[in-house]
Amino acid sequence: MYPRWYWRAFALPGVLWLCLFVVVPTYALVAVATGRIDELFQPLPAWLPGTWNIGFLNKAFSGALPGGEYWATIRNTLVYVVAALALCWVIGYPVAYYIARHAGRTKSLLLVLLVLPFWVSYLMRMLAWVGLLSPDGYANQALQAVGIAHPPDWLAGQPLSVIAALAYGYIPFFILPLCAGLDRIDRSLLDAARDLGAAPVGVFLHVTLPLSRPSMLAGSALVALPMFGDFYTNDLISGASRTSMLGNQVNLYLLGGPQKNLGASLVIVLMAILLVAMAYYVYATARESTRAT
Amino acid sequence: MSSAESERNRGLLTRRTFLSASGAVVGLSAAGGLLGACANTTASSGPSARPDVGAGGIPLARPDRPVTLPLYDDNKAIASNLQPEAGPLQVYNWVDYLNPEVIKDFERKHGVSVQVTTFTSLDEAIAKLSAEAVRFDVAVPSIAELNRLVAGKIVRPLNLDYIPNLKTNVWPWLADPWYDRGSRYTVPYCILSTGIAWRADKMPGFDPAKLANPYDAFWQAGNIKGKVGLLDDQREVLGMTLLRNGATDVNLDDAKQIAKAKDDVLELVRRVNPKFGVNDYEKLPSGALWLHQSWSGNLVLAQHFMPKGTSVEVLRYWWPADRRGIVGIDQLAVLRGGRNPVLAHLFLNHLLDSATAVKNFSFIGFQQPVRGSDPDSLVKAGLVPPNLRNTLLVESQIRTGQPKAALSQSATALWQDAWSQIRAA
Repeated sequence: MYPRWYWRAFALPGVLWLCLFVVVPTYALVAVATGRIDELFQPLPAWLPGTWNIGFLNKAFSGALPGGEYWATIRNTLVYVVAALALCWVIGYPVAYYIARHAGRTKSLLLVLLVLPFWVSYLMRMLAWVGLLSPDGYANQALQAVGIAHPPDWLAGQPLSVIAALAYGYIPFFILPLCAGLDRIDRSLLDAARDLGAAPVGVFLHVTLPLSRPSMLAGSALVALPMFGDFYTNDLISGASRTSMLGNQVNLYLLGGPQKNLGASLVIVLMAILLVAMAYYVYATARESTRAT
Repeated sequence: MSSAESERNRGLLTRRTFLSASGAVVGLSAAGGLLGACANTTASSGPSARPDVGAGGIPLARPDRPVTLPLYDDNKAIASNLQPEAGPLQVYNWVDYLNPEVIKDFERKHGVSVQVTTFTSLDEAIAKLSAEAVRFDVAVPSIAELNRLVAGKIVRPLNLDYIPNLKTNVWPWLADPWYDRGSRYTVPYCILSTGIAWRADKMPGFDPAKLANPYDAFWQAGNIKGKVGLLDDQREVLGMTLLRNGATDVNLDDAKQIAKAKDDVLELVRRVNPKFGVNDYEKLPSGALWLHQSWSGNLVLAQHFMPKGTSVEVLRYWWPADRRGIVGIDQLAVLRGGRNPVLAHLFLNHLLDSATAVKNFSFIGFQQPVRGSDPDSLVKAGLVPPNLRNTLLVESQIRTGQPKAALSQSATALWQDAWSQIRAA
């Protein structure tokens, strides 16, 4: 019989990790957001809660409400992330489904091919998009070839271009967990559904899709989280004010100037938004596991 | 899981949920009380909140208010006649802002190696330097950061005995400049102007000089929506708009004028949807953009990015005829934390050599204010096409131009907030 603490000790590395890389940085962020800025424009964190100045937090949170200073960037962020996520679902699900179910012996090869573009840096892949979408790039050449005389200028501050680039940049992180999830579905359940008279579409809608929901949620969380904080995709593909995301505002304040505490406060706003999204994720996965049992 | 267990867990979950919620309410109440006791301000504090004073209480220099930067007992210049160190010399610089050939020349001459590390923003550089996380010997600040570098004792006072080229080569106006009387901490590196660049083939007949107010060119560009670019730099965009609105100072801290400039740029964004970036040297040649607020050096560089079959003659540049447009002056400074101060001084002297400056220009596109780097010489040397001759400056233009100088902390915040609204429009 092991002492009670024995098994709990196994959680220690995880707890330490959490403290070192989550709790401490988050507290440091709050300390910067509520601290001062010195004459060199460097942040002086307020480590003691009694010394906090919440003026910049107030400014960031009030500015994040509809009609506020940062609302446009928050609205853009939410719309672009949701739209890019929808694209990931529409494009990624069939790909993952095919690889998991029908690829047969080529499954490993297809997975490698899927990951292959990620050997190239994100920046380079985005720059390649700049080439593709430029006014005389391949995208417009293709459109002109099918008779569209005046194709759009994709790089002139188009929200569509930013959404497409975001989806492209992160989609493998959606496909991989989904693929693993689909692969794990017990085939006998599908056979049972068929034996009970379900048509292929019915099997998919009533068995495969519900059983793959946890993997879809995991994949969605994996891609949505970095998308929320992304700023360079928008910088490279658009550069226009009207497509600015919250990450761009954070970058503006943290990269230079005497208001890094405001930049840190905007990061906390972003974290609050993500917290809502993650709370839904935790709730949904908990519900799924309850259903499964 | 049995139904009994399930029930138990459900009950436990409910209690947990209740306890968590109660805890959260208590926590929030406590946090609310705590936050209620906290300060709640977004104002700058300290001496630099004064409009005419920067970091360390150092007065903000202006061309008509020259400043002699203070010396400190614990940050002294090196003595004369010292032997150079063995290196390697560590240079902290912007990307592509130094010709590798110029570095090699120095390495050959002094038998040392030079290592260049790049930064993407001066604030990032100052953060690393002030934390002494890095030990660089030479850095390239602009005059807007000079107060902070001196007050933070990040830069070391110069011993000009090691830099004879300052007196013999540098344009006199910048050998004893208004922002650093006596060149106590810096020597000038590159100069530039900010003007309007355009593609003459795409915009036939266009010339900002023909307009009553040339800066209006951007506001009148609704017909080429999507083809217009502005520099992604708050000082440049708001500064240009201030000049358009009749201001004679691009370093002001007047909230009303800045708010008006911000509103005007927002109007421009609505009308033209300009792209913000600093890669005009590539966007204009490729034809992605036709009209761009540009740095003169970027346009010089643009000649190397012209696609096959497109002549460099299609590029044009405008800078105000009254010679009161925006100019920039970058500096060279020796860093206090460096291990090779003598070598660093010799490197500064090397960069101020006339032949070195021309060689450097051929790579970076930005002009140095030294003998032999005047417009006539650089055009004659074939380094600048005649149609871009006006990207080059003469000494009198640096005198009359509007330099982007340091702002107080509160004014910097004012400008940044205006810029934030523009970039979030």
